[in-house]
Amino acid sequence: MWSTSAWVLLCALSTFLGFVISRRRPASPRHLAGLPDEATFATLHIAALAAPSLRAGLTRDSARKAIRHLRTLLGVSAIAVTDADGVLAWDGTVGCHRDHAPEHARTVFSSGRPYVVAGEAIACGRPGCVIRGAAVVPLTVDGRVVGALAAYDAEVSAGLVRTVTEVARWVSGQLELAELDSSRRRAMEAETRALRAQISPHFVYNSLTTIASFVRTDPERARELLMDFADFTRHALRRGGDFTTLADELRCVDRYLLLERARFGERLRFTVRVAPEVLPVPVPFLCLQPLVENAIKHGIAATGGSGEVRVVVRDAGPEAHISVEDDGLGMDPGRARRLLDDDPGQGRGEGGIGLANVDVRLRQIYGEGYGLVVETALGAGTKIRLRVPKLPTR
Amino acid sequence: MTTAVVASLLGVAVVLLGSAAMSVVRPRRYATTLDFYVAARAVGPWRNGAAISSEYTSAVSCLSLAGLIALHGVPMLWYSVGATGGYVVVLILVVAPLRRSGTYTLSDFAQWRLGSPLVRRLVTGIVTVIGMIYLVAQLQAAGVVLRLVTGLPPWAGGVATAVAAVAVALTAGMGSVTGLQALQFWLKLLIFAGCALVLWSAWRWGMAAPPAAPAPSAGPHPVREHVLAGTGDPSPLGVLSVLVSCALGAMGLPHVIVRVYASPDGRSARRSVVAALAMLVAFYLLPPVYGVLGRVFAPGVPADAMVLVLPARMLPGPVGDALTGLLAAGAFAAFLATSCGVLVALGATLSPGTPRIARITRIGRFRGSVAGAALTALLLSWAAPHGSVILLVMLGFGLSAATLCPVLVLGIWWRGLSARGAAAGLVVGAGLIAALVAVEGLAPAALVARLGLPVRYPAPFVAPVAFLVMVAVSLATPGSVPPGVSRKLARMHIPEDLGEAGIDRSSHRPGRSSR
Amino acid sequence: MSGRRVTVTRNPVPAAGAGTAGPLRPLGAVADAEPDGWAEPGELHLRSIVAGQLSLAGRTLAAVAGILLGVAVLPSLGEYAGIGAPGVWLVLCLVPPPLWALLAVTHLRRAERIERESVRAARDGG
Repeated sequence: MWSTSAWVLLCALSTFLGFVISRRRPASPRHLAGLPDEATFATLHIAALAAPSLRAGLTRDSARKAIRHLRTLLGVSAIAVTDADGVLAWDGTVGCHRDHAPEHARTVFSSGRPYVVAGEAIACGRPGCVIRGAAVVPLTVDGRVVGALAAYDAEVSAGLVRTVTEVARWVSGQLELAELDSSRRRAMEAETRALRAQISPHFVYNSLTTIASFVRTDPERARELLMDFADFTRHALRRGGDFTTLADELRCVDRYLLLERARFGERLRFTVRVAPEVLPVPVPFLCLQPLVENAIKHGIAATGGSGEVRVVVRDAGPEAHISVEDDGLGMDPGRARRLLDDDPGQGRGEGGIGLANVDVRLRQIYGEGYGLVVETALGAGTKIRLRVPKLPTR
Repeated sequence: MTTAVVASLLGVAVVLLGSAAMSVVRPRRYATTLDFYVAARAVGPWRNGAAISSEYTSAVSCLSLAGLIALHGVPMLWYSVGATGGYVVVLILVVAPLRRSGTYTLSDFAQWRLGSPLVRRLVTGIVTVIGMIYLVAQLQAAGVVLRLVTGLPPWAGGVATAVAAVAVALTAGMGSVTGLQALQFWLKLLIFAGCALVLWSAWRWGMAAPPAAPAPSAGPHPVREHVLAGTGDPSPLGVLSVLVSCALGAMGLPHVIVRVYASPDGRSARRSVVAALAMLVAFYLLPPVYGVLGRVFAPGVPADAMVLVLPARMLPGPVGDALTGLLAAGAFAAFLATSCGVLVALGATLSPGTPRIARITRIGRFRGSVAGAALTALLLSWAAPHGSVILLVMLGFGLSAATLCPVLVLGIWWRGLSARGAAAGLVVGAGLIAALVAVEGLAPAALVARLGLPVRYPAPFVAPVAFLVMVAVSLATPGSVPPGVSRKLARMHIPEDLGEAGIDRSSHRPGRSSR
Repeated sequence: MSGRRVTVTRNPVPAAGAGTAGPLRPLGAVADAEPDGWAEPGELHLRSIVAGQLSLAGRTLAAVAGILLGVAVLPSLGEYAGIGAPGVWLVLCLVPPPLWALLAVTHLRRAERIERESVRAARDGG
């Protein structure tokens, strides 16, 4: 009897502990429960339903998905969302005023200010149509009018105009966020493209001359190297997708190392140690190869002697830890910092191919804490570490 | 010190230190192309399957089950049937979609699928309880075993196992934990099968010492085991309770999903579970053998100790001592494998929620969580009264069947699961289990009997209730069905080689920009 | 050698530009932004594959339940049949394991076939 009750107590205690520990997640909207007004809650809820569509930008598709919620929010007979070209979506008890909407929107586009239409001027005379007024309000992004929100109802009160204006302002806010999202994504894509472009010239030239040197003496080797080269370029120059798996990225590094080894011969030694559990982890496209290229450049090419490049991939619970190390000249820490601070768009600076690019992309994707860490000193070699979360949910 | 003590200490030390050392010194290197394929080859189904089996064949499978079979006979044979059957259910319902979801822990899965911090917290809490129960059971068993074979105080075994498990969990990332776990499985299988073979043939060829006492005749057994959540109760309802717990609970064990992540894709994850099942089937042939031997040679010995007492009873002398040492080493391999798997899973589950102190990184929090979990489990294992290990573990299974199983199954297969529905089902499932166990422990037996509560056998009653609550509340709250369900289902169910073009890899979809 | 090394990271970035608005979420990011109601060609395909796997799962689950139930009634059945206690032990120990293995392998092959066929159908169709 005693033992069971003790167990029950222990279980309850550890449930409580687990719950307490796990509640320390970053702020969540649970405190909303304290709000006094059910109506406020309902409004916020409807707004939240509409928000995801609007965050995709102002398109026919997103407008169609959001408009129902917006009409619920306003509580009017009909509502239209337009852009410069015409009506994107219409929702209402009647459909007869749909054709008026572009005309109303045009006025808004030209003036950039909200306005009200009322009285018999708007009546369409169709039986059952109650609409006698409209409030048309611009939707703006960065101060430029991108669309209009038109609400139609039996009468247009001052209250309705204010509500429509506020809703339009909120929608504009969402659209601005969407714009921000997509410009961030575009920036990232541009960086990936830039990196892809940076890969090629020197390496392609060196590889091809190395392969050429084998064509006579060792045709079989030359053929293998060409295949490696083909494999490498297929990965490095592929289109679409900012992410790949660690396994693919390592394969790319492997091809790269093989080609470099053909060029440097015995001077280049390399070791790769991999915990196989982390091979399926998704990583940003081309996040390793630039580091290895950098290591070879500083470790072997610059010294003129021989050197070793060491790639270690560790499984660290919720993260994968990767380090790329060379035993070459090392560098002045100040210079390393300058390499990282480089504008990633600048192309190859003084030898730091893509280091800044990789660093910026890692921070963009996983957060500020996930940049590259360089350990170096003059004559002490260089070690670059990076961490990749297995599940980047934040 | 007798030879048995020396042999046992030696075996245990070799297993614990060897594992800790191997986890550090076994990195894969390569310097040529061919080696690279070996080094960077993803974890294959067989290796991952062996690792899964290794974490699953805990102290329960190695020691308690055989002990229970010796005590109660036929009804307990069902346990080994149920224990493997659970993996068939895992295979059928969860493994491939779970892998494809790309989530690393059950909390991640809940957050990803339902997008609700509340559900995440509930799942984290439940996973913590199950993990703790599992850990405490292993540490207590380690204490019992070490005291039995060497006479050391009971805390020694627990501390040794906990320290070794933490060491492996924190350092193993250098090499391959999977490889280490797989090796431990083969070690266990070899030891337990080998010893069983030796003991069995000794019995067949009449070389064993005669049974110490005649096997007790039918009637009430001299040793009455405590009953918890239906475990150890040979009545049909008790067996049903355990079978349901096993069949539905295996999928919620925290260390299973973490292992699934090691497979490169859904297909390979499914294959590793089939491989694990094949190995488990082989392994679970052994407890009945020990059970039969125990019934004949060691009647009345407490369940957890029976297997280790057996060699000395049957073959007094150096052979028996050596076998005892081997079995103790095998048992510690089991404790270590399970504890390590649970610790890694708990660390990964708890680390996102641990307090953010100054500049502690995510990995720092992971290490802290692992160490904290081990320490807590160690303290609990001393504070908590010792019962039979299997009682605890089956309680964990039952809890998992009534809470995590519905979330996983409905989350994977049903679009309509809403965040509120999941939360309600979790609360009801966990609450009912806790209440029933509490009532059984605290309320007077007469009252319980009059009310007709199924207190002794919670799982078969609570699991369906949890499913029903989840479905009903979800249907009533369609508003809290998370957005993007179809896309999530597509990610879980459409094979990778088709999905990667559009779903898995690309974060950009044409036509989505605001222009 | 590494003892003399100095650890360097990038200087804190000034609060401007794309990088500071918070992390982008790579996997599932679009999925979360996607309001419900996926209306792309994938939907039909998804429904068919989920339905196929679900009906297969249902059949295998029924078999699992059957085996568990059969195991549960077996001992009493054995007493009627008169195979005796050792017989029941043997049957309980030796019959279910191969059944589990068979069931698992069959299920695996069928599930993979469903996936293969769906991939083929999707490629042909698209």
